[in-house]
Amino acid sequence: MLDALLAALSLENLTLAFLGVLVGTIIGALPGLSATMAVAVLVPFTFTMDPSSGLIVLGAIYTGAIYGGAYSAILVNTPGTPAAIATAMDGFPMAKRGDGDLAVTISCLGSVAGGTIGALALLFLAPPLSQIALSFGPIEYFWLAIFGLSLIATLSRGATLLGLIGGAIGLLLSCVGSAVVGGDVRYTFGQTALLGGIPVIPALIGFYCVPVLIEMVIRPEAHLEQRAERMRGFRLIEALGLMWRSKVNVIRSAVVGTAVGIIPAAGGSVAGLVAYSEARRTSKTPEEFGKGAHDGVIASEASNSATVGGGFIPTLVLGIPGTPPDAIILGALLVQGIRTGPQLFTQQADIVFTFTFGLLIATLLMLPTGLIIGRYAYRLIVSIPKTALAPAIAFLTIVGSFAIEANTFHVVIMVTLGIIGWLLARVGLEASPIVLGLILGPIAEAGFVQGWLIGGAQEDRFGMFFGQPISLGIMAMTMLTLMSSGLFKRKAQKEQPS
Amino acid sequence: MSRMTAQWRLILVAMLGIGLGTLAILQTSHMSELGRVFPMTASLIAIAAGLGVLLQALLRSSSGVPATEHVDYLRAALLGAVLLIWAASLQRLGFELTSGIAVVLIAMIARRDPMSVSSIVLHAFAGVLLVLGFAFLLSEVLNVRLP
Repeated sequence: MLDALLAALSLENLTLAFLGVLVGTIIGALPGLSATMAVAVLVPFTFTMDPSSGLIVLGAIYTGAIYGGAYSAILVNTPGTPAAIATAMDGFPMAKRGDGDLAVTISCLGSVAGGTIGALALLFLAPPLSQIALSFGPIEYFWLAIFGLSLIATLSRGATLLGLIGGAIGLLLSCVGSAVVGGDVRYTFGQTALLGGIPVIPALIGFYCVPVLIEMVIRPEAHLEQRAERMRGFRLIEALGLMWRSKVNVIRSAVVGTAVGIIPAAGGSVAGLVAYSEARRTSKTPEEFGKGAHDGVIASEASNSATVGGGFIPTLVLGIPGTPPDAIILGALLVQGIRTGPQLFTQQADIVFTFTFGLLIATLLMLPTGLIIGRYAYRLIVSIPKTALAPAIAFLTIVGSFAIEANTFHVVIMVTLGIIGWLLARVGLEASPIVLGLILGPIAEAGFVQGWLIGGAQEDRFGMFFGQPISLGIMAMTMLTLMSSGLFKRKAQKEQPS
Repeated sequence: MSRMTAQWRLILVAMLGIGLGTLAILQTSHMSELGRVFPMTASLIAIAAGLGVLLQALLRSSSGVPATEHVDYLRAALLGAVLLIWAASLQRLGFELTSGIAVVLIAMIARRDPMSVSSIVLHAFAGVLLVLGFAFLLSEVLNVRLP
């Protein structure tokens, strides 16, 4: 572990983490550009780096982007990322009364505290969990994928049936090409280029970046942001005092964020809203929430940043993404030749621990980046007209989807799926359930087919699927998570502004 | 009116789910028994959920889907077309040429005010600089493969 810490502290990795946090903060701060998009667009920059450095950059971008969302949430009442929805509820009222600078500072401190707790959870929880996961066979992976797919209900934000249609579309997309087991050629319509299936990263770039690009172009505003409340300074001492008084809130919110991050694909927006709700419920002055309560901003930011570390736990231990940006990072890992799963912690432990320490360092780097550089860089970027920003984003999406396998067909797939994704979003079908189906479909299918064949050979298919203790545990976990995610969703909807 | 719009959107989604599911099932006839399990399951989920959405729409129940806002479909179609043509012509016409043209076209689509000749020239110059700058950064500094 000491070697990993020293590797993470190398000048190269420190510089990469710093740059990652800075770029992530700026992209996350821009309204409409999510953390998922920040990671997706910048993935190609990491392909030629060594795996741990590449992971550190992506983790740093993700961390920075989640925090960056607070800028526009506080200053213009428009969350830069969905994770910052709850931040706007009290952050903007604070800015309106002239405390925007204080709100930005406490959101930064809250993010650093929450992100650190999330990263520590990754450091200490992932290795023992990977030991348990070592005993997993195809059936266990099948049930794990079903567990992930069941969370479509969480992702679909109040429209479960629409989420199911989206999930089914994702599953059908994952069936395109040669079957994972058996070699059936499915849904290629005679196109040999589709035999290898739908490439995951170009599909993710398409689903998460192209719709944002189209929305950016069709909206009449010349810039992403028109006007911001003025800020006067950092007010660091005052912010530190508020943080100390709110220490229980910080820890509770970070734990909520870590837990929500571990639930596959739930993400920062759910975490922020649940933690905000808990902060208000336990507050001595709940009437101040919504009118500029410091605790509201701290709860939202501590929890959404904690989802980063929490989300990496299922991503690295099981190969099942904890949050949408984790899905992109999972794809990038496959390009690097790293297969996530429990073996990762024994066979390539140096990479995992270097990355984990790197994530911790990136979180701490948010302090100088977020407090000083980020706020000036942000002001510079929002003044860039869309006529320059839109072509630059389009350019990066094209390059990103090509660079993975040097295949121009992947670019066509990316653009096509992106346009389809935008059209589907217009009628209410969100990208996340589709992406979840696309990623988890092959895992579920491979586990199912292998389990079916082994069960057939042993003449006990029922026992194979329903008689294994770990499988039963995962099934119980699925039921529990479905119920708890329902609760989370109800709480989140209750808190969400109309 | 807005309620009707939301209702029609639900009907559209329902038709999409049912239609896609049916089409996918029809395509499973040539697959092996094991190979068709997952496509069939996904298709049945799409059809069942589509029927549920259709029922919701016909009963005019609250769906959580907001009504449609005004959308500049012309601009969206133009952008989609530029992106598709850019992607499709990368191999034949080369990366630098297609990217230079596409970047300028996207800037023009994103702009609301009419562009003067000098403005077009300025955007073209900025576009070329952007493409060359990124191309250099990606291919020479970061060793990322470019089309």
